[in-house]
Formats: sequence, C-alpha cells, structure tokens
Amino acid sequence: MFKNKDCEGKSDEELVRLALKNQDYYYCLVSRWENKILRYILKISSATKEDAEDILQDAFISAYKSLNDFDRNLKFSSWIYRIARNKTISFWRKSKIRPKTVSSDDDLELFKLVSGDDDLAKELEKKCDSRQIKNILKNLKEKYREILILKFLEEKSYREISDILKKPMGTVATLLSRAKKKFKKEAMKQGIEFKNL
Amino acid sequence: MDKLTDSIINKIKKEKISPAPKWIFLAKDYSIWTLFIMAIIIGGLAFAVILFLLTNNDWDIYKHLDKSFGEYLLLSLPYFWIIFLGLFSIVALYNYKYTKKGYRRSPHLIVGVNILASVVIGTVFFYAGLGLKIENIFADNFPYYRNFTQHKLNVWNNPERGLLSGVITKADNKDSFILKDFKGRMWEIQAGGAFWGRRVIFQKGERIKIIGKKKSNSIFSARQIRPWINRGRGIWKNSDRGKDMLMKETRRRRVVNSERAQAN
Repeated sequence: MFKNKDCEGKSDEELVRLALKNQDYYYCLVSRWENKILRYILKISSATKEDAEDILQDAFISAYKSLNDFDRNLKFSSWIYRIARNKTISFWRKSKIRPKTVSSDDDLELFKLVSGDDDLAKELEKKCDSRQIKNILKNLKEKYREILILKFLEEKSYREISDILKKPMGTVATLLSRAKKKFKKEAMKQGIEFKNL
Repeated sequence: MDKLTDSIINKIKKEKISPAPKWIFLAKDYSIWTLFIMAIIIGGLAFAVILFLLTNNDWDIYKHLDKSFGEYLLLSLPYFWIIFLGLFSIVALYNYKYTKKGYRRSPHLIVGVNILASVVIGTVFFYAGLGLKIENIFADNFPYYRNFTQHKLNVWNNPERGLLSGVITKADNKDSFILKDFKGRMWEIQAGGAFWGRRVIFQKGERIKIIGKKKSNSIFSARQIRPWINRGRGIWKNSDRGKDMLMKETRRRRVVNSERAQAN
C-alpha cells in the first residue's frame, strides 16, 4: 500500500519522473493538487460539485496519459491547471451553458484584492453586498473574470498564468490591467465609487 | 487515502490506463517543427520569385506607356507571390503556436521573424536562380498563373509605343540584326549607336528587350537594348541563354495565344 510519507520531500517534477516508472507515485500528485484544482474548476464553471469532480477525474486521467509529454521546464501545477481549464471549457461546450460567477466567499475576496487597498476594501464591504459583487463579476467578460481568478484567488504569477492560458506574458499583463479597469468601471456603474480610480 | 484521489487511482488501475509512449509526442513535435520550417522555406521561395520579378521589372519605362509611376508600380507588383508569402507566414505562425512553447512569443514577433527568415532564405534562393526557375515552372504548368504574368510580355510587345522584345535569330552584325518577337513576327533591328545593356550577349538565341522606334511593320530602330532577364539567373545562367529556354518562352506565348483564341 502506498503511503503519504512516500510523497514527502519530493517535488512535483520529481514525482512525474517517478510516476512514469511506478504508477503509484501518481497518487502523490493527485492528492497534492486535487483540492486546489477542484476549487478552481468550481470557480470558473457552472458545474455542480459532482460535475466538477468528474471534470477533475477526467483532467487527472488525461494528464496521466500525457505524462510523457510533460515539459520539465514547466511547473506541474501550471500544466494540470491548463488541462483542467481545457476540460472545463469542453464541459461548457458539451453542456452549452456559460460559466457562472465565482462563489460568494470568493466574490468578496476577489473584490478586496482587485481594489488593492485594505481600507478601501473595508469601505467597499460596508457599501455593497455579495449580490452586488456577484453582479459586477457576472457582467465582466469571461476572459477578464478568468484572469482575475488566476491572479488574485489562485495567486499565480504572470509566468504561470501565461503557461496556463497559453498566452504571451505581455498579453497576460495587458489583459490583467484591462480586467482590473473593467472591474472598477463595472463597480462604478453599479453605484460603487472608487476614490483612487 | 482521500476518496477522490482513490477513485482516480483506482480508475487508472482498473482500466489499465498507462502513459502514451514518448515517441508519439516526439513525432507530433517533430511534425509541427517540420511543417514550420517547410512554411518558412516555401515563404523563402515565394520571396525569391518576388525579388526576381521586381529586379527584372523595368521601372523606367512607365513614360512609354502613358502611365504615372504609381500606376505602373501597382500594375507591376507580383501580387500572386506576395499573397503566397503572406499565406505561408500565417501557416508558419499557426505551426509555431502549436509548438510546446510557441504561445510564449507574441504573434507579431513570430510573423516578423518568420518573414525576416523568408527574406534571408529567399535572397539566397534568388541568387541561386530559384526565383527564375520557379517562375518558369509555374508559367509552364499552371495556365491560370499565366494570367498573372502576362504584364511583362504585354508591356514589351508594344512596337507602336517604342517597346519590343524577342529572340535574336540572326546575329551577324551588331548594328543590324534580325529579331523574332514573342508573337512570332520577324523584325530587322537597326541598332547603330544603340546602348547595349551590360548583361546582354549579342548572339543567336539571346532574349532581349528593346526601347526605340518602329519605322515600319518589319523595321525597328533601337535606342537601348536590355537583356530579357537582367538578374537572378543564378546557376541556370548558361542554360537560360540556351535554346531550350528560348523555345519555352515562345511555346508559352503560343499557348497563351491559342487559349485566348479559344476563349474568343
């Protein structure tokens, strides 16, 4: 029986190499990333928890099949986020439903982080409720919402976002800057004032 | 063991799923790179023809045609090959984007570098004579392409406007020789005092362009004599002057004429 301690002290990339020789090591990678990836799928999709788990399973199995294609210069996390994102997009297409906004807890968190100012964020929290924030995010284009989630909720670097979305870093920076502006603009439209805009 | 992790690992084991062999991914990568390199080489060939057509175009004769330089420029640009080059730049971009790290570079940069690579390779091809070779292959084998390349022949078959071209059929005397134009008409060329271009060789079978004045239906007075192909003969320098190539030009002209006659 494979034990958790067999995974300890090993990097993701090392585990990929080991998993190619011994299937059991793939357990380490799955257990290490499943919760984060599941939350990410839920944030960017309209899937139910059960659907999200199916997407997650599909993503990890696809990743396992393509393990020999894993680029060692890439972070495993970026790779598995990318696969999960592609599987989620396929799910949207199959079920013909658009992605929803993020969950209420995440809404507030995202709002605080995008505003980039603690005092301002507190003020905003007082001024608007979760429903308003949800509306702001709902009115943002998918590409802006997605990049805000990766940057502020998943705390990914520009390089990682570039690897996940398969876009050049310059495009990521531009997209993020636009997303922040759109976010603030949409908030103002809904009557929430940003003094520092 | 976590329930979800457990189900994923169990599924892998139960269905005996295994990683696809490395060679499949390597083959895919190599195919994409091969297509990318091929697109650049084809772009280079297109550029070689563009260079060949542009350097062999006579940019100073627009006045003979009662056109402005702008009009003449628009008529002379090798649109077919420019579109061809653009098309293969897009193919190269598409392929590069599918390489493992292709997404990391800006599409503008990829197109820029790709066109630059095609320009460099194309220049080498042009000096090797591939521009001429490809142009001839297309003209001989693709009737539709000929419609794009009639411009030069039409321009230089204008004896009334002082422009004549053809093949030297009798080269005894440089001051007076016989030329067969590309329509098959015979001309006596009076060339005493005419300026001979540096690359023209006075010999039977040489294709030339003449600027001068029509004196009668069979006599043309030459002021300037230029080679039919000025630059870009490359390694076909000698064979191009040979009879085969000249026959080809005449045959091509005949085919065009018969196609036109049929169309009418």
